[in-house]
Amino acid sequence: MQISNDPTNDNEIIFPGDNWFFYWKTSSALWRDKIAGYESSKIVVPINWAFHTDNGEDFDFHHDKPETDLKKLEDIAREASKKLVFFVPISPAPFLVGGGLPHILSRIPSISREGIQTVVPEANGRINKIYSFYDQRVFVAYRKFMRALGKFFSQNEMTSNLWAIECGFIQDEQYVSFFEDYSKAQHETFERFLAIKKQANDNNQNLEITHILSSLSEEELLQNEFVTDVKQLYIETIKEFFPINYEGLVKIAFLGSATDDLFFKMLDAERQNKYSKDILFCLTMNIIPSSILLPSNLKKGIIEKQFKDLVSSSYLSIILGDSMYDMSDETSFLPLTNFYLYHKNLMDYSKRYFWEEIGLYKYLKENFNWAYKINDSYTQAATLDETYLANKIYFYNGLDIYSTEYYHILKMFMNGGKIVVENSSLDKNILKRFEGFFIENSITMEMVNTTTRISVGSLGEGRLVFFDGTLIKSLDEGKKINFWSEIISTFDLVNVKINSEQGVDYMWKTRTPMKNELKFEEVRRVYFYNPTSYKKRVKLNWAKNFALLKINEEINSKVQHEPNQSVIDFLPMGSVSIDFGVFY
Amino acid sequence: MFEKNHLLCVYNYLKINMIYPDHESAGFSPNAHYYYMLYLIDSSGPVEREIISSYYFDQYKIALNCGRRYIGPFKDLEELQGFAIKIREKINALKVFVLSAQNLSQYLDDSVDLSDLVNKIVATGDSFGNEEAADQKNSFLRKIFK
Repeated sequence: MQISNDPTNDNEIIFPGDNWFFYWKTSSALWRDKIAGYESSKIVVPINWAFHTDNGEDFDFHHDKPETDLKKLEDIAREASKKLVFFVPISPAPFLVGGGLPHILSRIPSISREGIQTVVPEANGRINKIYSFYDQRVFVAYRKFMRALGKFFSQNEMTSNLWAIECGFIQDEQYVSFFEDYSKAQHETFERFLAIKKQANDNNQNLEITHILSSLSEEELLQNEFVTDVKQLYIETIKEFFPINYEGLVKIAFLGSATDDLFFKMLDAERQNKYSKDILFCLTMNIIPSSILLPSNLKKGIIEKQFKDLVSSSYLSIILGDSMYDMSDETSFLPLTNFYLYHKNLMDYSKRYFWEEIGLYKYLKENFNWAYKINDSYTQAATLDETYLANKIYFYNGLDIYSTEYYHILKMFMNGGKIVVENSSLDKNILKRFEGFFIENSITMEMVNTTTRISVGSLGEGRLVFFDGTLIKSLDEGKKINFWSEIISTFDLVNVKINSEQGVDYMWKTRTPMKNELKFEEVRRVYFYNPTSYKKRVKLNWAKNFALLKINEEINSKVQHEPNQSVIDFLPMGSVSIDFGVFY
Repeated sequence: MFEKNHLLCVYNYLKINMIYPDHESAGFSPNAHYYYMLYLIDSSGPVEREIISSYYFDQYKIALNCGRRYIGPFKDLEELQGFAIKIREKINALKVFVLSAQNLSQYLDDSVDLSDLVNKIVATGDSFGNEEAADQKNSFLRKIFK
């Protein structure tokens, strides 16, 4: 059985790093063969709401269509020694017709930030129109479906893990969720949200809403709060009906589904270069990149290599937890992250670009390509383990520091962590508490007055640097870069300087040394990709802490060694990876 | 699909809440609506930001400073179209198609696939040709087939 108007091509969905199985596209009689054919032991099964209902009221899980029997699918997978991981969209899903809504609910088109109807260009040229999740009827029907599906899971004692997924795409190095919607349904729901807020404020004798909305940032804050609340309603629904199976929420970026891609396809523009960068960007944002919407000609070559090297091996295990993917190999390479840049709320664009305004983002991009993560969660990375804190710098915008963050920063500092804080927007009380901490612990603050006011506190390996970002913002780009170059150089980070021609992407990974490598503190691998149609050259300057171990998989590339540097020449679509032993 | 040397411009009429002092000196006001280009793209991708910034500065004597992709503000549609034509001339494109986000949404709603969409834009969208570039192309072809 095949559904002809599906946005994905069945022949193109099995792909290293993805391993998705669309149960509604294959006759259940063929499930066994198909499941057994997957190389990976874990298979992702997205739930297709519309496939289980025609009217949004009655649900089919095994009665009418045998392909709706998810219990049978789980049993078949178990017999084939595979594990299923169910993905339940909490947003429009670009791999499903209409974004996944049952036909009867596909009424209000979703509108993008730019005011354009949200569509996804499919590999075959068809246009998949996406519909709003803000329609009240959609949420009511969603709950009904989740209740029925949850009941089916519990009655059949299904044990597979289940993740809520938020679907989106990468545009201009920014994750854009399909949940983002400016349709009339969203406006109407937002109006109701404001009315409730106003009522609550009236009761509390607080400010009038009209006054609250007097500036853009306040309006944005309310929008953010609203979107977060509505999203949370969908998440809570899944949590409620899948108490045993629910694992958490993951963001997925579908390559080829951005608004840009619509124009690129119309103009037949080159896109491989863009997707290569999008994949690397996802890795810095804890987002899973997916290639299921790309046509097969674009999946091959560099994109396929990147998925194999960077996504399918260890990345998915980090995002989905060790239980999702086998982590039996203790010596797996993990992405190297030297810098953590924190944002409280990524949807507030003024905060989103704070690190760009002060030039740090550009500096890191140019000098530590993709060795940074932009996080909005303080728990994911900011562990207090000393070994973990080594060779890492944590950046905080003063605006984002409240009591919780204050204590966390101090704990990291006392455990040897290196933290840089922009203090012009730091709350005065928090600033006083920092000052009190330094006085109580007899830590002398070193004051430097160069490009801007900088104060540095040291405690063992720990360093806490405060700087005034307002002065940095006003500098020209060159001076911003120089400022960061000077600041970062004081931390003595261990790295190899790479001079890369524009267009070549690279990414570092790291692992603990094996028995025969114990003279090193760690082993690093750098992956290079040339997704362009041109010859490219990259130079690596030898660093004293690095010893070359081996060169892996020279594909359309050649590595040559010269005194003090290695030179890599790439043909179009070339790639190579190089291993180094690192000692501190 | 579009031809290789076609340029596509999509714009919208957006409210500008806060403005830079430079913008005020060029006659723009806060809390007012202006035209912005959302996309300006040809077959090699988005038109280089350096080219756009330079032409925008020539037009308004202020820096282009409105986020990553958006180009503007423009005081009226004629100025936006004029800017699109200047960029078309600079990159030697044969034609620029200028369409609003609302029109594009309508075309998207009415189209089944991309070729259908392109046909609608080409047939009914506003376009501005570059006669000089067309002549150059024609004379080049004439030389080949002479």
